[in-house]
Amino acid sequence: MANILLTNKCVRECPYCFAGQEMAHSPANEYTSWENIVYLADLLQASGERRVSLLGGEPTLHPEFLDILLYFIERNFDVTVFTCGIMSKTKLDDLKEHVAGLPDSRLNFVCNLNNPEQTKTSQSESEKLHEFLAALGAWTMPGFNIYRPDFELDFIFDLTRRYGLKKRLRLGIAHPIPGAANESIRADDIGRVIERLYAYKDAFERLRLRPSFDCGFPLCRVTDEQLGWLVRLSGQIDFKCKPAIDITPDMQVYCCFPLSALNRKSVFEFDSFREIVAYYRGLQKRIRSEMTGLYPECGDCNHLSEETCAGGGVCQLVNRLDPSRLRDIERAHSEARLSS
Amino acid sequence: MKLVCPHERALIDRLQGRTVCVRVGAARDIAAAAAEVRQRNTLACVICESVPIEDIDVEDDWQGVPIALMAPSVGRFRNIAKKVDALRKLNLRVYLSCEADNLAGARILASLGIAVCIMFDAAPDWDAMADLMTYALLGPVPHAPIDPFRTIADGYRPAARSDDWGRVFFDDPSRYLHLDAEGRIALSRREMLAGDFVAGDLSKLDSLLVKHAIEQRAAAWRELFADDHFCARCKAWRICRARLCDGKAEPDGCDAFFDEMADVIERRRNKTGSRADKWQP
Repeated sequence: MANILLTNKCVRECPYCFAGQEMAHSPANEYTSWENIVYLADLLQASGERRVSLLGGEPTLHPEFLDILLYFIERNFDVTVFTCGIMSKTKLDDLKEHVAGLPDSRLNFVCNLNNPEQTKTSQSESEKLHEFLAALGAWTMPGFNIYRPDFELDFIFDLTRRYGLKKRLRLGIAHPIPGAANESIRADDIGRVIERLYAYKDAFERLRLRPSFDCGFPLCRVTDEQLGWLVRLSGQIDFKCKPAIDITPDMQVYCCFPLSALNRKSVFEFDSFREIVAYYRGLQKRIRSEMTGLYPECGDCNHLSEETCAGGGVCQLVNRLDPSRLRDIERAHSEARLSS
Repeated sequence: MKLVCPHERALIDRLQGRTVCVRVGAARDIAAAAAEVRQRNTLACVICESVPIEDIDVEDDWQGVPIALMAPSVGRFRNIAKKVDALRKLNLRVYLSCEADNLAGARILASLGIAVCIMFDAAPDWDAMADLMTYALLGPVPHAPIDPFRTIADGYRPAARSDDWGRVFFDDPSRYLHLDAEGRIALSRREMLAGDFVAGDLSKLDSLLVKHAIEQRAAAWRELFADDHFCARCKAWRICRARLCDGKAEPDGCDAFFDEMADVIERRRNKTGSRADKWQP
């Protein structure tokens, strides 16, 4: 799926932010233009894509966010918006008025929730989040980024119950960003993270809230008992790493925030979205051929060879590669494309 | 020959049997004007001076009426989203001036299946115009026509005389004559508004006087060559046909734009395969 970054601005300062590095190097006043929105809608449609994600920074800060959202809906895309839910009352009222008639299958807000007990959150930030959830809870799936092994989830159960949020919790692991000082989970701590999650088993079941994993969770750190629980509750659980194609306001493209400095291209260099995906999938393969997985045992693992587990996300692997080797891989991949 | 005239009952009655484009000042008059013309004439279209598209109330009885909607702007998409379906079902073309916001608006409407036309009514941003033109002719997915680019491309012949694309603006005396409320005849709307008439009465419509004026206008391009006008030396002459030369001391970027357009049309023809260029039966 394509992630369209409508702006690099954000209203929060999350300690784990994986877009911080990217935002620091981009002009703050840059928004995706209408011309580019139409171009991207065409590019995706021509490639048979029917889903699109709107991200930022904070995408709702784009002055025409609501218009762009409705445009993609009108173009028959199912839209997911990754938001922190913090916005002015006017903007929220407008949003509520215009999405009121839309089925929740067409529009999904993934609201990135921070635990106010564990992550610095101002009073007004908290109030605005509650206003957002009260207005648009039916369209909202909670999202939580795990950046410390002692994370607490009670507040999410409370919000889900109180505001009737969608019964799926998107869980992400905060990855270390090359050259940045963001808080993140070390590979050795992932087992503890899974244990901690499993400790909330009863709460998940009571609410019938289904956890879903973003990329980077390795299968070997989940016990059979935990896996059984996850599959029973969620139906399916994924341990893969797929290239998330991020497109910036100035139409640069890269694969995943943590890899934003790696092999960045212009969207206009490609003829189709499929070609973009294939290009970055190829790059990931090259990186994985240098380092198979997060752990030494990944090289001999059947789950990796059978592709039921990716052995962690590529973004976790690049941190372990020598930067000069990484540059060689990047160069070789670009040249291979040119010659083909 | 089509006659462009105001929505005046007395005048329309005098045009019995003609093909008429009737001009109305407000969208609420569209259906009534169409009905009046159709009583005794053939309706070519209703030309409506409109409010911004976001403020338009689409009426059910516009179905089946060819409409040229002259709108100052498109407006915010949030205010249009609920009208898109209704607009798409109409036999409609939205005319917009060439301001930057309208170029974006035209692209949005076309991408949603609503035909549009950009007017060269001010000094355009030629780069933005070229961007829209490229989208109009080479866009990767089907969209509604964006004129005048579509009409120019369809009528362009690199090795012969191209069609006069002024017709998309009702500005081609060989196809459209303009009448004022009193039935006086002008070769263009601009001339009509300036009081520059070729005949002072409707009875002269089929006269040699009018016919001669039309022929003279069709051959007016020769004067540019005789006067060594810069348009006559422009490499984009074949495509632009000096439509935008009025009041210009030198090209303002139009030459580069139309030259680029010739390339884009060529690419389009290579892409789609042009039937017009094939000699085979």
